[in-house]
Amino acid sequence: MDEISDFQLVESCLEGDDTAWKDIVQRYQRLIYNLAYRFTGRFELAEELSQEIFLKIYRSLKKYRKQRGEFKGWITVMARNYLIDYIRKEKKNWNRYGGTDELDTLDYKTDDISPYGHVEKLEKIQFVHRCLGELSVDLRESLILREIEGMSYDEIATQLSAPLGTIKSRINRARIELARIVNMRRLSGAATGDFGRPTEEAL
Amino acid sequence: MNCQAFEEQVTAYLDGELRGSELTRFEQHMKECTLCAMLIENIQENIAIFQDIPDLAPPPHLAVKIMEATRVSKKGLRGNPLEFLRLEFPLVPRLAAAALVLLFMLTLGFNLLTQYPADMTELQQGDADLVSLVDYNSNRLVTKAVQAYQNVEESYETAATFFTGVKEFIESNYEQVKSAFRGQEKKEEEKEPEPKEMNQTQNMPGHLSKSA
Ligand SMILES: [Zn+2]
Repeated sequence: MDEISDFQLVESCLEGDDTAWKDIVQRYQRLIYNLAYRFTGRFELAEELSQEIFLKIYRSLKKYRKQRGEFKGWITVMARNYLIDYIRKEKKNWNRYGGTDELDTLDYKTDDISPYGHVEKLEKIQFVHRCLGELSVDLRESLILREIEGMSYDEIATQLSAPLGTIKSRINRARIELARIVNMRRLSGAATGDFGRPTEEAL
Repeated sequence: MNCQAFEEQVTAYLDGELRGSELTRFEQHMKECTLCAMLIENIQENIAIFQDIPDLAPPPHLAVKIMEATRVSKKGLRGNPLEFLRLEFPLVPRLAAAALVLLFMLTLGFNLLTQYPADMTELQQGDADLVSLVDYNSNRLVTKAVQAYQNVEESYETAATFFTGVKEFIESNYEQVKSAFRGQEKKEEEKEPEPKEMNQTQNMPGHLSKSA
């Protein structure tokens, strides 16, 4: 079966076809949701941000019609910009979400990981993400783009409009500071207290 | 090499950019200094954790929520949000619901005020930051408004289920309740059965708190 192209869907969408928009949402919700999760390490927050990002995409469809190009790439850039904006603007609320109950919301599964390894893995990620939240915004955003999004130094420099040398030294500092924070939190026992759950409970 | 110089080269080392004598000195320090060796190890652990983030299936209700957010942003509220105020609910929850709706309207109103016409982006190319800020805030507000609306809906549904439960309970036990009262007031029939221990546990809407 021929799949309707993204551009056709956007066209129909702009003509007021709700089904077309629904198709776009179905097609790309996974991409956006995972991007938001990787940036935040929080399920609920990722969900909330996904809604906001799709709303932004929806309102920008006209712009896409003008410039065309690959739709997936276009929305990825838009989502990434939105998430960076979020990190910069919501700094104060960074630790508002999540906490020990967050993993309870994980009643759905990923495709390729057993629930056991999955929960343990997500606990680790959430713990390190929490620690990441203690870095300054400058360091945090650079590190997310490098470590989590796997972008090159050049790409990061462009994305954040900063000189290459600055980005490199930020990432270097961010790695060192994050390692220290993670160690400190682990030693203070926060890993099993504030940051995660005892293993038997998780299973 | 001291620890500070070591730290400055950590990323270059991890990226495989150190060569020759630089690399030798770096690795020499790593052998001699436990703290720096541990630092490298910890950084590598963190990198591995981040690279290993699994691809998650989005929650099943996400698409619906997204559709809802866009629909509200496009058309305003679906249906008439005040409709349920006409239903026959006791005064207090009705007032509470009205207050929630009012709060929601205010949020939405604020959002509409901060919205700007889509064409403005083209007019203000030079002021992209400002536009992006406004855009960002208006985005957040619409979603907040949708969430507020969803909350109102949820509390409405909870209240509705609760009062339906109460109503059903009263109806199904009406005769018993009535005769129980009569029995108490007139103190006529001492044989009036102790009516409803079992019925109560079955019919009271107490189970709602679990599902709510
Ligand atoms: Zn050292």
